[in-house]
Amino acid sequence: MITLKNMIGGNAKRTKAQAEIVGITIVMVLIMLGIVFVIKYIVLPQDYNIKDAYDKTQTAANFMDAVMKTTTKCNTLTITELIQDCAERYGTEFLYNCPEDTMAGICPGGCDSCTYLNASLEHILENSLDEMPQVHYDLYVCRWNHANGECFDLVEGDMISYFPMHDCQDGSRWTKGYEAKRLAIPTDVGNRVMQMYIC
Amino acid sequence: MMETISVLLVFLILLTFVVIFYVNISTSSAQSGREDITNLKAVEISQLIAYMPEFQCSSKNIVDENCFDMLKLEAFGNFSITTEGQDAIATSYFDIFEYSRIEVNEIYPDSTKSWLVYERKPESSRVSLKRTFIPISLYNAYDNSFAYGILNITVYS
Repeated sequence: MITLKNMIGGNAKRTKAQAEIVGITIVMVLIMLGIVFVIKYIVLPQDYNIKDAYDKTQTAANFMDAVMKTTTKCNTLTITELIQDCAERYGTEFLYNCPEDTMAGICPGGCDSCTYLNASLEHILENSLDEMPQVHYDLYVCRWNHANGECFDLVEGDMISYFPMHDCQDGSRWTKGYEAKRLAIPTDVGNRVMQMYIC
Repeated sequence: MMETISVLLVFLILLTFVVIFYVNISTSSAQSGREDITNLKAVEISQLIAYMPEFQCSSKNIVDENCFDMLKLEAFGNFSITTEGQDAIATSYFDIFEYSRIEVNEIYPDSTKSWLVYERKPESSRVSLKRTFIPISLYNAYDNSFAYGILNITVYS
């Protein structure tokens, strides 16, 4: 039987239910907003940063350009000339004999050009790139395999210098966010390459 | 009535959390943007100084890129410690370098050599700084040799 009392009671129930629905809707909207924030700022990967890529490429290019021209204390040979001598005369008795560099602590008692080259590069890297925060790199001086885009390491002498930090690699795969720079060095036994990865 | 109040209360609490979260995100974005500007300033200084004839290497008017002449650095350093030099640097170079410190260090073969090219700190005691290191060549005209060095740029903000 429809009475005024029943009608009022029914309206009260409907009003109560509507208020609950409004409350639930507001909570759902806020939860959706929170999910959107989480997805946008935490789950989705960061956009490719052109400035970071430019910085890494420039650092690699500047480093290799500066290093290759550097005059060493091994008979005033440059790093390029040491690489050429090491590649052309590796394993022979005709390698340049380099004197000790007491100031840099390189080559105590004298050594050949290959040893001097690696010691010089190590000294330069330790006192420059290794002291730069957030710079991770791999540096190779080697005979380059253009087929697979890696250094040859099959014959002794193919890999002249190798300074891996492996911070850019995950096992055998290169991780994202690295930049690579390559410089060719002509020698009598074919081109050698200085390859640097910076991440 | 009480239910409505409680719903509104919960709504306000959730809204407060959302606002706090958004403010934190905005603050970190603004901080990141400020760092980007400082980084860009350091890059700008490095590009400008690399092409300044006061420091760049050249031979027969051909400029050698990414190279600083040691003799020019020494001459500039000697000039900058004079009164006339300090006035000239304050008036001519502040527009280019602003509040920063520019230093060139030789790494190999002689790691004892360094040259302070420019320095001006802001007067405020609360400064933040951003350091940038750039590998460069250093040319020695006496013996026609090249050394390896680092250009250190510290930007104050």
